[in-house]
Amino acid sequence: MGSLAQKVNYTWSKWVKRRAFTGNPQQFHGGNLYILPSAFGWAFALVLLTLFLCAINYQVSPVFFFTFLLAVAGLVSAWEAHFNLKGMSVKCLSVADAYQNDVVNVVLWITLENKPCYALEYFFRDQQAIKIEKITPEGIQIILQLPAKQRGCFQLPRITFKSYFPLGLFRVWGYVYFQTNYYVYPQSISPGFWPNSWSENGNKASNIIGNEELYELKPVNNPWTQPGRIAWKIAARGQGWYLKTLVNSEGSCWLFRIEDLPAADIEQSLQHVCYWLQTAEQKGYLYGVELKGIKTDFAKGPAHLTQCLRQLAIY
Amino acid sequence: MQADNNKGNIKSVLIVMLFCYVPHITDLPVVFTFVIITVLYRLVAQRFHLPLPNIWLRLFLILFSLGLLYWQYRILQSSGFYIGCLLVFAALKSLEVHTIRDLRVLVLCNFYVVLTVLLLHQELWIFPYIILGVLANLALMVKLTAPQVDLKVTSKHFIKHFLIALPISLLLFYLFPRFTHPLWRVPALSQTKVGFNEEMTIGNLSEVFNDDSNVMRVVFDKKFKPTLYWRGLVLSQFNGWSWKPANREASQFASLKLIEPGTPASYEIMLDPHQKKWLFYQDNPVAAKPNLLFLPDVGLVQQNNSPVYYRLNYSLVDKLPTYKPITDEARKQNTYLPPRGNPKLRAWAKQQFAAVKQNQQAMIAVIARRVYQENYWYSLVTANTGIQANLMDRFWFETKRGYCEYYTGAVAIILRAVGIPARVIVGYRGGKWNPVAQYLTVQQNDAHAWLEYWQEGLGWQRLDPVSFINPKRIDPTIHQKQAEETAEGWFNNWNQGSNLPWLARISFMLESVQFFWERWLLFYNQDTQRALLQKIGLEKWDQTNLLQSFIGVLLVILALAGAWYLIRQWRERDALLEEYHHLQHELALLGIETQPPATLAKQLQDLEAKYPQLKELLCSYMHQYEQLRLHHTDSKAEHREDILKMFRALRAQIKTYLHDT
Repeated sequence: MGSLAQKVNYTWSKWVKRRAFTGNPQQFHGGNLYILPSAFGWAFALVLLTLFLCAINYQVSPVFFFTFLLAVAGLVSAWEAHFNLKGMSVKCLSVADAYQNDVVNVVLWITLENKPCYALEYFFRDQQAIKIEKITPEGIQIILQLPAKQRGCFQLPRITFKSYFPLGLFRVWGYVYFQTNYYVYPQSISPGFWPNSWSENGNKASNIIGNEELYELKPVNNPWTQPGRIAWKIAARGQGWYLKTLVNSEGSCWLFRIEDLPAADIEQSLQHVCYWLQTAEQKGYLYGVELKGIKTDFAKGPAHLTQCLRQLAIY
Repeated sequence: MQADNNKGNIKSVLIVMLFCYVPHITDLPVVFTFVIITVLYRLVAQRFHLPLPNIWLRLFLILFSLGLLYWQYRILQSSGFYIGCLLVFAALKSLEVHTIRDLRVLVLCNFYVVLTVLLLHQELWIFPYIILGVLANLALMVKLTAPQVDLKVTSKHFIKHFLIALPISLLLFYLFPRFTHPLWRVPALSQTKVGFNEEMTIGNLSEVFNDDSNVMRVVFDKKFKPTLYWRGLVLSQFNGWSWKPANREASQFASLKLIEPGTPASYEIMLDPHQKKWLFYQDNPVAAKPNLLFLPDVGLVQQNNSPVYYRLNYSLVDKLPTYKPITDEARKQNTYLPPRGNPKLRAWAKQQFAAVKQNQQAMIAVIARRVYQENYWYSLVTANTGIQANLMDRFWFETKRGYCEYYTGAVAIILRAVGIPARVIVGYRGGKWNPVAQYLTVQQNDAHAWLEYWQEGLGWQRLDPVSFINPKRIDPTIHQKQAEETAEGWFNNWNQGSNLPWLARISFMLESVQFFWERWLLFYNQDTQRALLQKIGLEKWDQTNLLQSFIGVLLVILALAGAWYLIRQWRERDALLEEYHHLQHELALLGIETQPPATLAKQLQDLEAKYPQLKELLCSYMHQYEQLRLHHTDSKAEHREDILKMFRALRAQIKTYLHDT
C-alpha cells in the first residue's frame, strides 16, 4: 500500500514537473493549478447525500431545496477557490546560503492580479505549511525556511502554494519550481589551534593584494567600482583609468588547507577550515583556501568568504 | 494565536448551533433543555476556563442522554427517538471540540439539526429562519477557513454563493422527479391529528373543537357549486354504543377513472397527513387524479389503500349520483338496531311515525320541529360522560344538551327504529374561505357528524339535525363560528371577490402566502409536480423525462458556469502583459534571449545585432517606447493602451519584415 502511494506520488511529481514552467517569476493559471475536494468537502458531500436520501424518502420538499442549495453553493465555491489562486505570481528574490544544521532563507515576492487572495498556505515538500490570511493586490514579501541538513549544493525544491478558501470544501494548489541553487556550508567548529600564515611557511607575499601600501597601478575599464582608489593624476593626464593596488603591511596571509589538519574525518576537517575562514574574515586577514590542489586568490570580504565557503560546500 | 482563533471560532459555532436548535424549543422541550445546558456549559467553560468533562463523565452523559431519550419516547424504533439521538449527540459533541476539524464536524452536525427542524416543522416562518441558519453555517465555513478575515469579506462571499445558488436550486427543485413510495419507513411523526375517529362513539369529536390546525385546503373549479359538507367515512354499523363503517374488503372498492388531460376537476384538495386512509370528498366523485378507490357505502381511499402519512394532493370530478334502488343487504344493514337499548326513543319514534301515517318527510319534519321548539341546546359541555346504557334516551328526553354526535346518533336511531334506512357520515363541515387567493381552508375544529336517510326514488338524502337547533340555544362561540362560515359573504358567492376591510385583507394575504408556500414548496410532491407540468404544457412527461431533464439542466448549468468563469478570466486578463508575451515569443523564435534579466531594450539590441537591416525600425520603436514611458498622461489606462498599440505594431512589423526578406 505504502509503495503504491509512493509510486503514485512519484508519477504525479514527475508529471507535474514536466509541465511546470521554470522561469522567474512564475504565475498560476489554469494549466498549473490543481483542484480537488478536501476531506471536509467529501464529508460535506456525504452529509448532503444523506439529506438528499432523507428528502426522497420522507418527501420533505424543503430538504430537497436546501440540499440543492448547499450543493450548488458548494460547486460555486469550487470556482471561487480556483479564482482565489489564479493569476498569482511568485518571484524568487533571493536564496541565502546557510551553514549545516541551520536554515536556508528563501525570500519570495507574491503579487496578484487586481484582487486579493485569502487563506494562502505555502511550504516546501515535507515541511510545515505557513499560512497567510490575506494578501492584497500590491503584493507581499514572504520568507520560507528550508532546513539545511546536508552539506552541498542543491537546487531549490518545489514550493507548494495551496488554499482552501472560501468554504474549505476544495483544495486548490499549484507548484513553483525555481532553477536556483543554494549552498550548505559545513558547520563552523574550531580545531583548537590557528595555522601558520602562508609567508611563515616560506612563501613570498609579492603577489598578494594588500590594503595599506601602494603596490602598483592596475588598468581598468570601469573605475567607479572603487572610486577611492582611482589614480587621479594619471587620469588627469588622459592616460586612461588606473586603480591603485595596495599591499598588506604585515605581509602575512593565510592559505587554509585540509592537509594542515590532523583529523582524519573529512567532514570534521571541512568544519575546521570553515571556522578558520570565518575567523580570518572577522579579523580582516587576507586568506584563501586550497582544496584538491586548487587555490583561490588571497583576499577578504563577504564575497570572497562566500566563494571560499562554497568551495567547502561542494568538496 | 491559533488557540485564540479557535476560541473565537468555538464561540461562533456554538452560537450558530443554538440558533439552529431554537425551533425545537416547543416540540422537544426535554431534549432542548438538555441541549441548551450542554452547549451553554461549553460556552461558559470557554469564557471562564472551566474544565471540560473527562472521558468517564462523557460516557456517563451518553448513557444518561440515552436513558432520557428512552424515557421520553419509550419506543426505540421511532422517528422521534432517532431525531432526539441526533440532536442530543450533536450537542454532546460540543463538549469535546478543540481543533478546527472538530468545529467543522459541528458545522456538519448543524446541517442535520436543520434537517430535523424541517422534518418536524412546517410553518411559514421556518423557511426564512432556516435560510438564516444555513447562511450562518456557510459564514462559519468561510470563517473556519480564514479566521482573521473580517466579517465584511466573509459575508460578501457566502451571500454571493447563496444568491448564485438560489435560482439554480429552485430550478433543480422543481425538476427533480418526486417519488410516491418511501425507500424505507420509520413509524412516521404524528404531524396532524385526525379530526374524526374511524368509529363514532359519543365523546370523540369534542376534543378537536379547540384544535385549529389545518386538515386540508381546497381549490374549486369556477363552475362547480360546492356544499358545506366534506364526507370522510360512512358509518353503517351500529352496536348500541358506537357507529362503525361496514366491513368491506379492499377488492370491493372500485377504481375511479382518471381525470383526462384537459378536463377540469371540480376541486383539488391538499390534504395534510392525518395517519388514516380516508380521503375527503363532496358527494359523488366520478373521476380522480391520481388514481383513487371509491366505495359509496364506505369512502374514498388511495390506490394502495394506505394511510395518509404525507401531504397528499388529489383532484376529483364530482357529479350528482344517479339513482339506484337500495339493495336488500344495504337496507337490512342500515335499518339494523340492537335488540335492546334506548327503549323510550324507539317507542317515541314508532309513536310519531304512526301519527304521521308512515310519511317519511312528515317524520323528519316532526323531528325538526321538536329540536327547534323544545329546549335542545348545542353545547360541548354535556352531563353525559362515558358509555352509559340508554344514553340517547337520556339525551333526547332529559338532558337535551349535546353536540353533533348526540343529535346525529339520536336521529339515526329514531329513523332506523321506524324502518327508514339511515347511516352516519363523519367528516368536516364548512371551512374558512380566503377571498384573496380563492381557496377554502378546513380545520380540525370543523369536524362534524351528520346522517343520511334513504328516500325511495331519490336515494340517500343528507340530514343534519344540528341545523334544526334554534340559534339562540347554540353555544355563542360555536354559533359565531358557524355564522361566519355560512355567511353569504363567501359561501354563496365564493367565486367572486369581496370588499374586505384592509386588516382582513392583509390577514388573508398572509394566509395566501402560507398557502403558496405550502403548495409550491413545502408540499411540492408528485401530484403538485404533475399539476405544474400540466400548467406549462408538459403533461406527457413522466419521471424518466424529469430525471433526464434534471441531469441535463445540471450539466448545462455546469457548462455555462465554466464558460462564464473562462470569459470572466479572459476579460480580467492583462492585455498589455499578454501582448508583451506575444512579442517575446516572436523574439524567442528569432533566437533572442528573452528570459530575465534580459530587458526589452536588451532584447531589441540583440535583435538589432542579429538583424542589422532592422536597425532603423527598432531605433524608431525604442525611441517611441522611451517617449511613452517617460511621458506622463492623466489616464493610466490610456497610457497602457498606447504602449499596447506600440507592442502590437512592433510585433507585426518584425513579422512582416522578416517574412518579406
